[in-house]
Amino acid sequence: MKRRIAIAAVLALASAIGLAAAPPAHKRLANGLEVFAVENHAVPLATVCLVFRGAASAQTPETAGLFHLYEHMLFDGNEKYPTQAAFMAALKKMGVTGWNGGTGTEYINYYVTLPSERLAEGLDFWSWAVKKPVFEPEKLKREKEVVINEIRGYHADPEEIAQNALESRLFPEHPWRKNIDGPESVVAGATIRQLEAMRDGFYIPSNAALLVGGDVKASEVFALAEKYYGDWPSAASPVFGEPPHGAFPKGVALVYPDDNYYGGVASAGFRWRGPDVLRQAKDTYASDILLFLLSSPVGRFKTALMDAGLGLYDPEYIGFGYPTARDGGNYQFAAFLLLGPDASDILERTEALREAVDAEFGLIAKDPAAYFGEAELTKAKTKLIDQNLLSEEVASLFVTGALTFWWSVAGADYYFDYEKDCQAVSWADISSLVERYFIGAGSASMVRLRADAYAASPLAAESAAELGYSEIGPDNAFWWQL
Amino acid sequence: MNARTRRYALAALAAAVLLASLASSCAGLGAAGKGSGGFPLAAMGDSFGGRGLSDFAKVNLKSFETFVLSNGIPVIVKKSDSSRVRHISLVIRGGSAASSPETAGIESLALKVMARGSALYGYEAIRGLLDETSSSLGGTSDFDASYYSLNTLDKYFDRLLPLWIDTIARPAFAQADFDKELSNAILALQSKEQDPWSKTGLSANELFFAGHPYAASPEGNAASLAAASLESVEAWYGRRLRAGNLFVVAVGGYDAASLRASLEKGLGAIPAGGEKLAKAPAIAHPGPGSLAKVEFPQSKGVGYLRGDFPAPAIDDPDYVALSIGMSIFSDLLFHVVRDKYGAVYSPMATVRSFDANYGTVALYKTSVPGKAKAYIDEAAAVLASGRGMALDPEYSADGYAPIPEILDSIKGQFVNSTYESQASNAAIAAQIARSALSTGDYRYYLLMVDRIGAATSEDIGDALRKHLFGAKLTWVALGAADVIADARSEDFAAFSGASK
Repeated sequence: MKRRIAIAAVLALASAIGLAAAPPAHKRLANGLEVFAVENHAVPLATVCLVFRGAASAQTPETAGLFHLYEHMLFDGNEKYPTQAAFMAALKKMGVTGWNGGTGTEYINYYVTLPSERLAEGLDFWSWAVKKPVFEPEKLKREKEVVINEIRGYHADPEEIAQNALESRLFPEHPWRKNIDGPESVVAGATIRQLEAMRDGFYIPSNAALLVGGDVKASEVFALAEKYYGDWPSAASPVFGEPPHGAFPKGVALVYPDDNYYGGVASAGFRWRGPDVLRQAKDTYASDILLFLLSSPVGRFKTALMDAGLGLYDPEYIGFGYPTARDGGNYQFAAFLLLGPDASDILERTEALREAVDAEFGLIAKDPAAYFGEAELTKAKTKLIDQNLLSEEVASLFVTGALTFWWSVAGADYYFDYEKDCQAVSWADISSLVERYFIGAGSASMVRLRADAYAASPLAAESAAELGYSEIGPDNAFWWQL
Repeated sequence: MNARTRRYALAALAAAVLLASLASSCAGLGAAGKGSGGFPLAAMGDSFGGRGLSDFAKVNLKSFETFVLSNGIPVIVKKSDSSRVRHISLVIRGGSAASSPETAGIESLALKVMARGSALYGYEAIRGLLDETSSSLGGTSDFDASYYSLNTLDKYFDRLLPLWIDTIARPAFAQADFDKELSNAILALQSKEQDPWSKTGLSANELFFAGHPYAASPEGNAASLAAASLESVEAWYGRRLRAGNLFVVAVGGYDAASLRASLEKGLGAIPAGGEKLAKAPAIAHPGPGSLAKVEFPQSKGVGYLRGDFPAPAIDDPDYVALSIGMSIFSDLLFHVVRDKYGAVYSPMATVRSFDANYGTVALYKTSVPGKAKAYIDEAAAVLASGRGMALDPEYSADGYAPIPEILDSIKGQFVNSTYESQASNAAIAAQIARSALSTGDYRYYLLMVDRIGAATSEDIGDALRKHLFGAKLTWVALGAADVIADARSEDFAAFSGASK
């Protein structure tokens, strides 16, 4: 299950990405395209979403950032709608209320929400974009400028800097598979030939899913899918995310002094290499149950850390996550530590926190039922199902969010069996999981604090040297800077 | 959903204008009700059903039940079985505008402290219960009102409702809870200061709302939060948590009779009375437009641009026409600034829906904020000529078409957006609350379809000339020094829509 930790003002609790309680109807067309229909008749609207696997996880140093550029180019014209103006006019004609495209680390999606009575038009609309895109030099030139405007913002964003600094060091063999944007130089140098290769290799039905949700009937969705996408030529599914990322290098410990960081607190984060969903599927179910076992701000895990005397800010600002991933899965822990005027001991306290977390995992591995209480396993499973119920309330969000994610990262079979497989997780599975992924595995760490607090505490820099922490910032965070 | 997903356009901006929630021109509506059956938040009375309503409105009207608690608190229940989610909100009249810059943020702070403890529930019990049931409990404020809400699944509602009620009726107001929430509020404010787009908004608000009640921002400011105390929070609670200031909105699969009994028992003892709270006055901005440049060194190579102007409130006849006009403008900005010049990632033009309303023209992520004003002006000139983006790109050489040619399509999008803004029970509750607060009738949002349908091209042209062209926009350009260096005040002084 997808979880992420946001070290932001309202950080802490890992956000849940749910599954529908009543499963969507599902069909695979002869050309390999998977079709999902989610019926939700709350409002007379339908959302049409096309998803493709790949994105950052399929990148090479030469194509880093180009899935994102391609995503933009798909709005720039195709054989039916030759210009962006024509594309936008068509959206307007259909009465579209929301539209967008997105590129993530493992998927790209495109979607519109439109009146349900115009579902056929929406399906036809995207079919032209994905089947018959037209790439023209002038449009590519202009779109590069748009994308560069966009990614400059990310490259200056402290959250991105922190995330990239860690991941470029934790996945040293293929760091470009974790960064969506790529360097400006690759985007600026992109060619139409590269985009065509991407189209032929990834924008094919066997690497795609059509997700339709809202005021629709499944039978109608399937019939229309056949009509508009049945002639999409099939091709062999691409191979990507291979070879797998290895174990994390030992001793990755980073400190990020940031001029704009919060005053009065620092954040400490740890990462452990986790399961890849297609390689260690069973471990991903246990991981998700573990998340819910650890989630309560008044549960034993967070209470123990708060009571450890390390000056943690608040149990609601302690987060533990496992973003389900097919490429480079990892566990993520983060907490805020109170910071006085003197930050000298912040790295020692971070190391003490790491030991405290490790100690708790040691206790969990030894006897999780005793650690959490026998009844907590059932409660954790109930929480997981409840989050799924909540996630399906709004059809457009479910289709473009949860369903997009699950299909692209884990696939239809995993998705449909997910609750059953999570229900089967036992205390022994939890113990085994923690034993294999946490005990003695070593974790990477990242400390963030205000630059002036760090500079005013020379002892902090001394302890950084002693404890093996390296300073990072916007000039040495991204893989192309290393 | 995924912080690491790159979107083609910033969705919140691209869709903003279409999410403008309420239509206008319900002449003669007052905030004081004399409505159907005496329900105090049904100011339009029985006539509401006799106005040639859309089918969507007719169906929705049947799903309401209303009643008044013995102490005078009105309750609106909208039955919805489309999901298992139940939402209930206590709406408290008076948002940050009823405060002052010196005490800004007190409403939000008080509501968050309430959610941490009550006579029956300590912090641990609350957090444990919320975690176990995947539920959320908490408060928020905007300029005009405050909201204390519970979102949960139907199977947990009977366990959670007593918690929601007790934290309203008998909050603990413990010093430790206050200290923690104050600290959280300070961190949240710092978070806004760290983000270049949020910082652009903070800077714009500081300038645009100077001297107006909206200068008191819902999240507070560094000085107001530093001055906040538990006593001030309790004093706010004592003043505002009076029956005369409150109403309840519940959306979900409710049994209204059962809910009424629970609310009567739990909230019926809240003291009557309440302060008379006037609506915030319209924002007035005499003099030329202005440009403030805000250096944000971290934003290397990219800048942010935003201009605000006074706009009609939702109960003004111009509101819908201006909203549609701004939507047309937004499309033009996308075409000119992004598509033609590649000068921005996401442009926007929108009208909001506050009591003292305002509109915004903005560019999110541009490497050329100085040059970009000329591109904005180019798009504005097309709009001022009575044209928008054509539905058929072959319609003309430049891709533009007269507004009457595209109006039905734009209006259709607005109608669909009203549906989209009612896709969750929490969203429906927000629409009902805003309707009741702004117009005195909780059903008003259901008239959106009719109001949009009535807008003409002439209305749109008139509204744009009256409120946008010639307006004194308060502009903020934020970015690294070299990025904003070429943004010149003289280029931003006028916003006439005249061609250059």
